[in-house]
This record gives sequence, C-alpha cells and structure tokens, in this order.
Amino acid sequence: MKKVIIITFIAAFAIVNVNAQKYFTKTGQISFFSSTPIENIEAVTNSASTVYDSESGKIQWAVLIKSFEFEKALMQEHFNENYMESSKYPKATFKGEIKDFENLNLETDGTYVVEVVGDLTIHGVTKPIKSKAKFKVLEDKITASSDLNVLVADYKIDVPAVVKENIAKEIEISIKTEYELLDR
Amino acid sequence: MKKVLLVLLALSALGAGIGFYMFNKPLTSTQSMKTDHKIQSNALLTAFEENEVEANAKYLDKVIEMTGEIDKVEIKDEKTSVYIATDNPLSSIIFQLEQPLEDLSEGQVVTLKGICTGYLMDVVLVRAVLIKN
Repeated sequence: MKKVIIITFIAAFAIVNVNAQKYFTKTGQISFFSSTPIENIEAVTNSASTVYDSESGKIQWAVLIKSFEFEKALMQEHFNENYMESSKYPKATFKGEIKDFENLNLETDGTYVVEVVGDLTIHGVTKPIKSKAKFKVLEDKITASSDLNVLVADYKIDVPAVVKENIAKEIEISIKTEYELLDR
Repeated sequence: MKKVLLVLLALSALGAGIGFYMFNKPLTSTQSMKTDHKIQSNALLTAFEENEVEANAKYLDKVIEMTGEIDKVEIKDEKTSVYIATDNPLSSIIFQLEQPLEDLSEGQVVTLKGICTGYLMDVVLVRAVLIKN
C-alpha cells in the first residue's frame, strides 16, 4: 500500500511538472529606432539574453547597452557617454510575466499572441510596462517578437538642447528572438 | 584684408570638412584596433563574477584578445556567435563576430579579438574578429 501511495505521488508530481520548461537565448535581437524630420537614428544588438519559465509564466530580458551598434561611430559614442551613461548603467533589464501564459503552448505548432507585463529598467530607472508579444511555434522552432514604444524622458535620459530636434521623444523598440529549450 | 578672409574661409571649409567626416565616420573594424588586454577565458569570467563594478571599469569598451577552446558556435540571421569555454559550465565568453564565419567548430582552439560590452550570464564581446585558428 505504501509503495502504491509513493508511486502515485511521484507520478502526480511528474504530470504536474511535465510542461514546466525553461526557454532561453543569449543571442536575442533588440533594435531601436528614433525618427525625426532632421535625422533617423537606429541601433541593434544581437546579444540580448532572455529566459522564459513556462511553469510560472515569468519572463526576463537583459541587454548590455554597449552592445548596441550604430552606423556612425559618433552616434554610438554620444549614445553611450551622454545619453545612456552606459559606464554607470551598463544594462537594461525587463522582469515580468506573460498574462494567460497557460494558453501559450510552446510544444504545439501555432501562433500565440500574448500580453506581457512587468518592470523595464533603463538608465537606472524602473517603470512598469505592458506590451503584446507574438510567439510562433513551428516544428520545434520557437520565435518571439514584440514591439513597444518608450518615452526618453521617462528614463531620465537627458538630451542636450542642441540636439533635442535630432532625437525623437518616443523611441520604437523591436524585439526578435528564437527561444531554445534549456536542457536540464 | 582679402587674404585674411580667404584664409578664414579655407579654415572654415576645412573645419566643416573634418566635422562632416567625423559625424559620418562608421565604426572602425576591430581588426585594425590595438589589443588592450590579452587574457584567458577563466580570468576574464572570474573578474566579472567576483567584482562586476571593478571588471566593468577595467574591461568595458576595451579590445580583448583571447585564445581558447570553442564550446559552441551559433549562427542566427547571419550573425556568428562563438562561445569560448570556461571552467564554469553555465558561463562562457561570447564573441559575436563582425562578419559571419562558417568554418568554425566545437573543440577548435582559436584566437579571437573583440570589444567587451559587459556581463550578463556570460561575458559578451562584440565586433569580434578571428586572429588565427
């Protein structure tokens, strides 16, 4: 009888955890775009890290500010030294969760649109944000994408008056990544 | 007087030219940059694990040259990322290459040079180039 109880308990535990998986990448792509009549500025990184825990719905992102590459060296320098102060704040992070994550089945082919909520920290300032994300699952390949806009002023990023017209007040951020299953 | 004006005009044109050049200058290839630190993967990782603030001050934006064994190569959207092994199975040194490269494989010993951008789960270097196989 004891054996039956133990085996049933283990089996139940296993069933509950069969969908508990962690998905990750260390080469996520994040790009941002600022558009003004004077100039367009864009930069991209391909070394963002992210982890998604399908058991809790928790999702996290981290990116190194210095990994963003611009077309022009001077723009990259100004971005790091003047606006983002990346020597002082080397990372931007997001910690949040996917709402209705139970409906996101990364083991079944399909396209899933979900809502992500959480805290975004840029330049040492944390703000709650909300965004839609699209997950596409096709034959074991999981891709995710999301677009969101952030206000420069929200993150206490000081833009000198002389270039105020060159930088948009709202920056468009685009996230694109492939998730891999984390092998236990 | 005319001569002075001409000289001033020439200087302004030169200044404008230099300004235009500086403004539009693209990123320099890492191949032509001088190495700031030659270091092994374990030493670099340990530096960040033990004191990230100090390691950032020492290594951020610096050109790092490293010889090590490839743990993994990842090619995504034409971006090649080379993971150099460390003693920590959870962390590597990631070199994201300037140009895609296809003939690298696990276990190969390579020398890479890249610019340090910091530490997440791994130490990440970008604009990296292969020095030799």
